[in-house]
Amino acid sequence: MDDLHGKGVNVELKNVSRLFQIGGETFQALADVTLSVPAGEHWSLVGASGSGKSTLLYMMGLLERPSSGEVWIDGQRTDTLKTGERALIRNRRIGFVFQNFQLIPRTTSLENVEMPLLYQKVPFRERQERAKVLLSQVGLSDRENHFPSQLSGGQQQRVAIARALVTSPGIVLADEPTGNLDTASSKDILELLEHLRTIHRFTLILVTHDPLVASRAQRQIRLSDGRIVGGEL
Amino acid sequence: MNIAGLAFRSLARNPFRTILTMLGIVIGTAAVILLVSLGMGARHLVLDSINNLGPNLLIVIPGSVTDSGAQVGGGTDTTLTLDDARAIREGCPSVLEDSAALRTAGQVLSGAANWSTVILGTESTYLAVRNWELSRGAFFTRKDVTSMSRVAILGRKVARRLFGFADPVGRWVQINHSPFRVIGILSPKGQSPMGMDQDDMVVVPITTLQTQIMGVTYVGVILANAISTDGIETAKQEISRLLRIRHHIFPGGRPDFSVNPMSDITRTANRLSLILTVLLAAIASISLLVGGIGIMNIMLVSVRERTREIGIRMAIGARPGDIVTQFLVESAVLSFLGGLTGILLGAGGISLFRELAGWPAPFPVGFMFLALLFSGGIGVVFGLYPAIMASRLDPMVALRYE
Repeated sequence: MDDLHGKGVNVELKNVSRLFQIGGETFQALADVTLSVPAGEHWSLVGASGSGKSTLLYMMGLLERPSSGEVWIDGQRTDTLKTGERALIRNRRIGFVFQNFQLIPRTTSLENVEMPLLYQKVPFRERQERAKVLLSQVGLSDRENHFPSQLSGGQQQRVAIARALVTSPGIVLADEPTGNLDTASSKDILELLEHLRTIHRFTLILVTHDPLVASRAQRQIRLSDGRIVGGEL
Repeated sequence: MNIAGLAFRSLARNPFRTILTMLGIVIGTAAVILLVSLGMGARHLVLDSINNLGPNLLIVIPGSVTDSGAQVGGGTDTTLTLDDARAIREGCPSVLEDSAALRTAGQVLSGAANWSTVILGTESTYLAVRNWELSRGAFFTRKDVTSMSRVAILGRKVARRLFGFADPVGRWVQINHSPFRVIGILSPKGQSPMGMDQDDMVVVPITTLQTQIMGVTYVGVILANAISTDGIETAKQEISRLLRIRHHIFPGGRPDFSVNPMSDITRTANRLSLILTVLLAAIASISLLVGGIGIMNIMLVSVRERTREIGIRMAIGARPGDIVTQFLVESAVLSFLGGLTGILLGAGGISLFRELAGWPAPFPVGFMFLALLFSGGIGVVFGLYPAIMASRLDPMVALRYE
């Protein structure tokens, strides 16, 4: 359990572009983006909707492949890897937190949290133990056997955060993690993420359109039309 | 729980759908098992009745009559005689024993009771050749045959019809208006392979039948017993050679008789009933195929319904192989459980046929295992396409699927 207190992992994009074909027209979601997020830092990505901030986030999370350019995770080039190898990197080094939580329905909190470990073939008992540790760290020890439908939005997002962290990833990517929450819950979630970062030391990259949320990061990157237009690099 | 466990859980989540999906495989497997078992039972019955004629038996029948160019069918000619039978007995070392036989329809009377039945004329060796016994009295002797005695052996059914439960031995009956003394009763034998009730006949010396009832000199058939199972082929050749000489058939000429070993008939019957069984099983397998398509249909629906779940699993690190495994195990479990239930149902059906219809349907245990493997295989084959479809989803698209 050494890497439970890992150091975070750096992410590097070199001249990354991403084109989409929509109804015969080509749309450029990312245009020649180059950036390097040092290990352990907390960055935020801001911009209007359609500016490419989400595409950039999922590019770093290996859920998108660049049309051109390179994506490096912890010194390893990933854009040329096979789907299965990219899945392995997602599984071991990256945790996702989504705006709409993306928990598997009719599956308990505990089972949702241990799911990533299932794909690492971690034995049942160890999976349970580690998932319980994470659930207690997000303050949901008493909700282990609740289904997502029995939890509030804030609680569901806590479960999602526990799931993102159960594999001790070097990077956590959060896409509008407070977008579906009320002000109080939003504050809780952000504070929870920051608190967990002091324990787990992951690199945190967070997409938001809320200036208050963005301002808590060490660095803000502003995107417009798929290009970086602000934020010192 | 592991990835395979996910499959069980998703099946348990929709029990009604799971059962309905399984039903196709259940019915298919049950039908295959039941039909194969019934087919095997039929085969058993046919072979049994052929074998009770005696496994070493050869049947010599006269060739067919050609009537104005139309062949009337084997066994209709009148070329075989009692002398042929004696010649075979004396001239064929591989023949243990033989007996000529001739039959006709007749009316048997005893007092006021009368019964229409078959009158079978044979020689004294008939019981030995047919591997048959008497339940009472004695069979006629060779002397009875040469002297054309008016003695009769009754089949059990005839005895019952004419005498009820009284002992007919020593009594007299009228056969086609001639008096015959009853000297014995045949033990019950049941149906012949050709479907004739062998207990419904009267046996008399063949010479008596030829001269006093039918007024003919030919015999209908010669039944010969080979000395052993290995000797059947030799016996067949010996009989053929002998009869060709006796009937003046030149080499290359078409014989006016045919020699049919029971083993050939057994083989043919065996093959025919096997074909029948395979055919039945093949027809039943079609329903298995339909069951497989049902599984595929439900798996496609399931993949669509769970698109977002698939996206989530991919995001947290499921590889394409993991997704394939999950859905493939699900469809394989569906069809395997369906197969298992079908086998139990089929076995229940078999018991029912055994108990209620007395059909000798066996429990084809080896075949049941095969059917189980097959139904599991159907799940894998028909689940493969939906599973691969699921594994090829783009995780970003899947995560945004509503």
